[in-house]
Amino acid sequence: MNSSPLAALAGQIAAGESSPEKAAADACAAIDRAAVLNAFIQITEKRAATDIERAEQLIDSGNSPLGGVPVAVKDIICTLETRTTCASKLLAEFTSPYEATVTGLLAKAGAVVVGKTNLDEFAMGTTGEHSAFGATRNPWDRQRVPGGSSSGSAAAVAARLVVAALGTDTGGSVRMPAAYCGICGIKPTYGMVSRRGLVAYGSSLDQAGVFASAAADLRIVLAAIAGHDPGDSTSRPDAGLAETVLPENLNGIRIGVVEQLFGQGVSDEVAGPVRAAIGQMQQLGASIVKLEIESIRHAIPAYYIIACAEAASNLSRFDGIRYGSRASGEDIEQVIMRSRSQGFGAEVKRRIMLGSFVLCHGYIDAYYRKAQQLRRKLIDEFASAFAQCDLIAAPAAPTTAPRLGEFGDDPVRMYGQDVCTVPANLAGLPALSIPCGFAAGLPVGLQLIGAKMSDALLLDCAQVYQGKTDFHLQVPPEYQ
Amino acid sequence: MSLDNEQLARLASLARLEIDPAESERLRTEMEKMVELAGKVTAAATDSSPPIAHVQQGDQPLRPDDPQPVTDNLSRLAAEADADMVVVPRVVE
Repeated sequence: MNSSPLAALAGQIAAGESSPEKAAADACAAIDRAAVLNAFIQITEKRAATDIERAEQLIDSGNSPLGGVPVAVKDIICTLETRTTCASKLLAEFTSPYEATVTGLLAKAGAVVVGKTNLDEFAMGTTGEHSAFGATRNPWDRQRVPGGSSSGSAAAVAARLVVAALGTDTGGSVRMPAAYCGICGIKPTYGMVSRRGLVAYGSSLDQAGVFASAAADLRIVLAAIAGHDPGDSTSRPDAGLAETVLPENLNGIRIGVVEQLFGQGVSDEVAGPVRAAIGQMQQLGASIVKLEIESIRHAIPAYYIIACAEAASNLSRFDGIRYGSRASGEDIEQVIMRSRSQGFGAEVKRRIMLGSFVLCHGYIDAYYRKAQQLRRKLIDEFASAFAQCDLIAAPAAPTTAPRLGEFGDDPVRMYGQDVCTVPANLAGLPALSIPCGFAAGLPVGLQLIGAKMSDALLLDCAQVYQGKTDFHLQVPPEYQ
Repeated sequence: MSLDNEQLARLASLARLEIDPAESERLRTEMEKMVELAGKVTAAATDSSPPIAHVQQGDQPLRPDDPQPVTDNLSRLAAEADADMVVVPRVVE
């Protein structure tokens, strides 16, 4: 049951049955009809017009892997001819003077950016509710969150407003919303995709990722954006998606099952479909290896220490002087403090303050250094695991999509949702989420985690699985 | 770990944030929960694992040391600018 809506639309455009302009217009009309989802912060007509012109030339020259299809981009990725707000009041009118490498590559491959999508402010959130532009809603149930932080990109693909979208994943911000919204999402190996032009949250963890309804389409987009970028000092010299011949089955693939990834709050309604999917992969020829990765139980606190420490440093640049809105004050110190206090939302403030705490004298060794030691231990334990298996299968999220406001004022409960996703970020590993079932009408995501640079293998296995299942073909009833 | 008002104010100062007095109690409760979560690492056994700041430990290739075009007009990003200069509040008396 493999499908490629992206390739199908690109094929229609190539055959003259549609055009980049018509496809973009159709996408904009669909976005307009689905405005209640609040998936988009802006529709980018001017940028789309530029992309359409380029796409038509590329299609004429026979060199357009993305074939003029409309795509959406998380509004934390810098694009020319648009604002880049990071869903923050502070950057509500910010226009980047340069283009991110990933979106430049999308355009060079013939994609048309039709809009910038909503997110948790500065990519800090698990639910998609922490945006200065309002919460995004889940197309499967609008009283539920779509997941964050790449909430709008996930909701847009789930509602079939665009065939693919870019997100970023620092602790699960692609895989979590992919799972909640019943679509596919991949976080590549750290360094596989350039971070140049991604507004930084946690620099040692951030990685751009892709959403699509089918794994085959993740592959097409990832192949277009992966590669070494001299403009990003953390870009891998060997970056690039390996070309593979899609296998017919999973013979010879060893799937690791790590019990720690099924504990810590993973609900039975999620664990059931995930274990069933692992069973199906076994029927497709894979063998199962039971593994222990002890340090996973410390991954959440270690992640929040490291991510918040890096956030405190990265977001110090937003001072009301060089970028964004500026508050009035009697001296420069007051201007900076007021600009930040008025510009940042509550979740961003909390994380910056936690980052300041773990880095301050007296606590840095007990918290930040300890988290760095745990990160090393986790990396070593993953390396041992991948000596025994080719990939690890696990839930992408511990529950199905929570209700809007379910976590109230308890950020720590919200952070618990990241339990299955942060280990791959801490270790810099590729990981993807694909739909594997439903619980009470809500999608459940299967996560596949691989060794570094095994992105293509993960996509192969996801495609083989999707060749035998139809969960990825399900569309929310209102958007069919 | 409990945080008193003085510690909370110090953290806010380090983060270059002002605390709204009406929200300080709620923020203190939230921060205490977050610090408690972070504190779970302190009891973890790490043996002699050396700390790691980044997943890429090998040498990263450097760009050639050649002049590159400079993005101009950056001052337009500032909230207040005069010609090509960013205007800031007086910092020298």
